[in-house]
Amino acid sequence: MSDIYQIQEKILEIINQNPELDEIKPDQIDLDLSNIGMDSITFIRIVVELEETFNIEIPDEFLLIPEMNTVEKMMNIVLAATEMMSESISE
Amino acid sequence: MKNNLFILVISNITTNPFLDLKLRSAFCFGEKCITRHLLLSDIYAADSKKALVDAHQIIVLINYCEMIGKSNFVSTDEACFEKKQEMLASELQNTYSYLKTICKGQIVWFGLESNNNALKYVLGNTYLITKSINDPNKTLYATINNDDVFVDLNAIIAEVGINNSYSYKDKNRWNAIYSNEIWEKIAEEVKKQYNIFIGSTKKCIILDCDNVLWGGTIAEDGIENIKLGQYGEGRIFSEFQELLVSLYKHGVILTVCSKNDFNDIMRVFHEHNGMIIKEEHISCFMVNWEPKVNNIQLISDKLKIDLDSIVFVDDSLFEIETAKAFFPQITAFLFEKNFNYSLLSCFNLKTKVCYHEIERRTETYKTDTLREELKNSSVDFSDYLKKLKVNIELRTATSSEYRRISEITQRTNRCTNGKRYTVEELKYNSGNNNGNLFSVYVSDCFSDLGLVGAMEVCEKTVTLFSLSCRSLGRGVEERMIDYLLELFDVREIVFCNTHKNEWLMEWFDKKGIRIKNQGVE
Repeated sequence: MSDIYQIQEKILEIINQNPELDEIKPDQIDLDLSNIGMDSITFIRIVVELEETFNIEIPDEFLLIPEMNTVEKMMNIVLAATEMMSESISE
Repeated sequence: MKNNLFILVISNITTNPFLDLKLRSAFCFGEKCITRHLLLSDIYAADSKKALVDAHQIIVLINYCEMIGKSNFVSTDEACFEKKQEMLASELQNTYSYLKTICKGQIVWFGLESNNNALKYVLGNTYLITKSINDPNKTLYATINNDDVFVDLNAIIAEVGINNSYSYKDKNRWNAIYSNEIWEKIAEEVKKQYNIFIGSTKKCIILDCDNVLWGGTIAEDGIENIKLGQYGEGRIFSEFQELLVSLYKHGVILTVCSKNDFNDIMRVFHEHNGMIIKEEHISCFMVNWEPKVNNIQLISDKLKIDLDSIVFVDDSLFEIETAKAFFPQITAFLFEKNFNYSLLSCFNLKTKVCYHEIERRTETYKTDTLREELKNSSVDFSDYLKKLKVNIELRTATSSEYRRISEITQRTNRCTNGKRYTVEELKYNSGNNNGNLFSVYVSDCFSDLGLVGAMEVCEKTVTLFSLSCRSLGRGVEERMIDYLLELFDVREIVFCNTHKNEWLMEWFDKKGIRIKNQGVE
């Protein structure tokens, strides 16, 4: 549980680093980020930052704004990608 | 440094999410650095014009493979190949010419590169691939004018390494070709070019002698045994001296600070065949047994160069750490046999300099000792000025002086109203009759200082007042303002605080000239 919380915290930090976006709070994890200013450029920036921070590679099928437009969706994708990375390492 | 620096990036690949953060980090401005990205295809659109006009710096980064598209192959038909290169070069030239008609800011154009061209693995003649880039680059380099910059992107990629320069993941996802390392290097290069453009550079280097200019210690080893020459250990010091002479020729002031007997040091300068630095390159010798920190302060005072513009190089860690402790604003490097030359990137030197000006300035510094002696033998300041026979000439500035005037406005931090001009801005003002611009020439009985200052008046307002520090102490600034009062009856001066020019603001205030404050630099 604490891992999920840490991931959430980190994702919020990454999103809130972008001055173009309104600040987002922990209780807003299902807020559509497109409504607070996320455009394609900010989206790319967030994806790159997520991949670097969590040392993962997000599958291409999720690299669309509708697939990753909330903190909750991002958390799920990061968790899934992290698990995939762990499995491939142990193999 | 301008408030709200606006950088415009023009490219045919995706740059925004990658380069943006790197630029903001490189400039450390945060919200004061505004960046905008424009696709190459959009530069002709009407709503791009404002950005092109307003940008202080325009970065052009055109990817060769994206530009030539599906015809990305080197033709074996030489005539066809040549024609393609000409067309490409022509297109680039036209783009540059168009930008020059609109942009007022400096254009930093990154050259073409094609290091990730897969054809290099299959072709026997890979030079054709190199030629396909070099020819248009050469044409464009010849086209770009003096105030803009052509950056060799191949050199940046060579430094990072081809294998580390590309991101195939980002290329396939978002058409962003380059790796993180390259985006960082590009941002660093943009910052460096900006520093060169505004004249933000270290001005002076203070050099130890033993084990910096030559191997060994002159006092113990004697002139015959110090290591200096083209072979063996001596080569390290010869190469360093060669670089120092290049720095001198690009405007850096060289000084010596050594704990030694003065005669021993001068004997090396005069008699050792391996010496590449000559006495005439050195503006000041501080050779004695006093603490080096005292001598560093003396050099700073004598040459009127602020400590934050000084680099100190010594082979003693103790001297380096002591200098840093006493003067946190100084930049100090330990000289070792495997000296890291990239440390010298704190120098941001223009490639086009007037060597005559450099010689003149060095001569002025050398003759300062004579001025000091004259001052000490004078009854008072008026007596000193009379004996010094200062001659001040104020002339209407001509276009041939714009480069020097721009350099003075960019480099001066003390005796300035804070106005900085680029050559383009001076030309623009001249073309639009915006004010009267004057150049200030100073000479005295010891040397001719040349063009050392500039003033500009718009109606009754002084919009530019800039005087090189090495001409202070001769009553020049007094005569400049008296001239403005006589001829133009000036009432106010536009002022921007540089943190070092507050004394000048107070001085104008005492003269009854109203200060029109433009904020802090």
